[in-house]
Amino acid sequence: MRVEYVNPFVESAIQVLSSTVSEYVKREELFLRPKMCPAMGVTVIVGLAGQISGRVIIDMSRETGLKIASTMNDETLTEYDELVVSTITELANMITGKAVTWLTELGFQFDITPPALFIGDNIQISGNNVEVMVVPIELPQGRLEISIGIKEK
Amino acid sequence: MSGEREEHNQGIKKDGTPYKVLLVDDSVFIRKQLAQILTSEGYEIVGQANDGVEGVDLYKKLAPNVDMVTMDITMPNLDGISALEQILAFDKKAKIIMITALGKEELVRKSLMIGAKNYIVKPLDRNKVLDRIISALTK
Amino acid sequence: MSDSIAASNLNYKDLMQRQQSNGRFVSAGSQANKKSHEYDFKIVSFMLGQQYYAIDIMAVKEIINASRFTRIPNALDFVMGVLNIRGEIIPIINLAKMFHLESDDAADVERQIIVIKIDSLSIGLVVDKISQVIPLHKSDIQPPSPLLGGINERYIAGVAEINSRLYVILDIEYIFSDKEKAKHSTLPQDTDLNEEFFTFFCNQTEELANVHINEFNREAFTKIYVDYAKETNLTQMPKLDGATAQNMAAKFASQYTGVMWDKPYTDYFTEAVIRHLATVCSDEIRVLNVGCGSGYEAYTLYCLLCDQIHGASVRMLAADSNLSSISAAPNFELSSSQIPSWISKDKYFVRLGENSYKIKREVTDQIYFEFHNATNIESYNRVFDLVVARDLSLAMSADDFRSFLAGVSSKIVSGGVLVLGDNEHITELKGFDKVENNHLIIYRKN
Repeated sequence: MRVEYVNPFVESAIQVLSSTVSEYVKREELFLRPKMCPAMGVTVIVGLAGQISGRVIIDMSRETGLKIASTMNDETLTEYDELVVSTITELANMITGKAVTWLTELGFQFDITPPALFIGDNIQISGNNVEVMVVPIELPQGRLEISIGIKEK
Repeated sequence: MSGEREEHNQGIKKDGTPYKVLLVDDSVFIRKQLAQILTSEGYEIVGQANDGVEGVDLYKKLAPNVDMVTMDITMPNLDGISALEQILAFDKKAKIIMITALGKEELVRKSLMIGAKNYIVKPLDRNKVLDRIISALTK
Repeated sequence: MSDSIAASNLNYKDLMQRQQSNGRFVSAGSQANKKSHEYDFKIVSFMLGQQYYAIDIMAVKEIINASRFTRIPNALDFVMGVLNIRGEIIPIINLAKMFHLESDDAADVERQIIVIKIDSLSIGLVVDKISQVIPLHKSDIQPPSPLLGGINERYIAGVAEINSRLYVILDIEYIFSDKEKAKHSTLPQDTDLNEEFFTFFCNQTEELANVHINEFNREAFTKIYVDYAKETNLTQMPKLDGATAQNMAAKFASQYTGVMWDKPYTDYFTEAVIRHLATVCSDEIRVLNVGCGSGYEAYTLYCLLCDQIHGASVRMLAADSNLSSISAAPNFELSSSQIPSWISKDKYFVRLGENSYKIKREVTDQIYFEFHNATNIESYNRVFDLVVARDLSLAMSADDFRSFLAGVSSKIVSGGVLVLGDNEHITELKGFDKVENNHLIIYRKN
């Protein structure tokens, strides 16, 4: 992934998570993966368009998803109802949106498409021949993996 | 985000009745957040819509008993900007405030040119939401 | 299984009886008066090369003749293969080779094999000629002489002189049992040793300098090790500290690593690589620089290509998996002393201050710096005329390096050039021809 893209995504993830979920956000070492492979149970996919094409994927366990949604709504949520789904989707929207704003300021033309949330252990992502940068994040609610795969047109 | 606001119940008009707000947003989460913030200040939520089509319909049904609309920009069926246009075409005095994620600056600019009163960027900050709304109401 | 065990398996008891009937019994020097049936144990003797060896008969299960062993890919070089003996699969070891003695290695010759059993493990030992079973007294055995060449002292249980013939008795349990090995704290002290020292040296370098030593760079490290051993007068297991390990890895590094390249290296490169590219490329030269670090190599290549191929535009993708290095690359700044004289400062740099220069924006715009993993070259949706990947084998395992090479192979155009590190060595790169050059390691895609 183009090196200029790295920081906006990492920083926006940290900032959004620390302001909406928990101030105890711990980022672990970034790493690279040969493709997107969400596997933790709950997956939000946000599309990127513009001068590039790509995807941002936020992957977490079912339990972590519920805990995060509970924190963000300030109430205990126990199942994947509309509120939980929309909360997690919104979180992905905010993280990606902030990153894209920064990238726009740096002169890159990016746009985001509305996020979609999937629940399931073996989500297959099509058109997946792109290297992926993974930002692993530890929260008191559990672990998140934010994967970003971007292809230049 | 706890407010240190001195002015209490900004959602109550001088005549003692609450400002009436219509929420248009496809995200239950955002609607819930807005409702929480607004009702705590005395505003009354008179309706909630899940997309632009519903939002326009609901506005037409409720008018003139709506003082303020919060309008998400990215929504299915009918996006926030088109809904904004349709509501303003129906009622050019309508007070509409746009809700947007970061990264949509171009669309915000467009909304303001069309006639939105203000905008709020997600994630929602209680103080910012209240400031922007009251300033839009009293503009 | 293509084993073929000789029908007439030799039995060691038969063998012993034959020896007895021949009357050629023990008459070892000092014990000559003892009666022949008084012995402490028996040994089976055999030849490796010109020398007689023996092992304790208690470890011997049977003796067989066989040829055509099933070969095992990637096995150690002294493992000749495996053999199926009545349903049991046993490894066959060429003892001479294991001890680095000269031996006949022909594949299909029928061999005599001593099958031994250590703990529950059966092993077949290929030996040159089994001669006889000999009963021995403990006192017949003398400690091994340090002067005995060939086999490591610690593998030897002792030496016996019988009928004026010297038998080296191997400590077979020690050789093949890990448990035993752990008990012995004494360290090897002869030629074999170099190999163990070298392994140790490599392990320490890998660990402390955070590099991989593998088949693509081991040869160079052997030389580095030999120099190190000479320099430090190495007599015991090497013990490297962090700085030394880093230093060893640095010795491997190609010329001008982490700095802008200078003459004459740039001349060699121009001569061997750019001249060729100029004949195969049209107006655009597509370059992939893998392991570009903070940009020295990428910018060097850019300047060199622009200088040497007039009118061509250079489009470069420069990748590194070290995020902090590559992050610095787009804002490349140097002091004037870091810019070699062949590079025109005015053409490629903007002067920032007294002594500092920054690469021009228009140069950076032609280079796409990427946080990218070299094992994943196939994810690129473009092809390249030139791939420069120096010393990448140091940063990855042999398997990863192989997949890197496969990736490069799929993304380089026919006639394209791959440049590896000065000290890297690939025995065979499919689809490429090695270009003979004294200064650079160059492969050309067919």
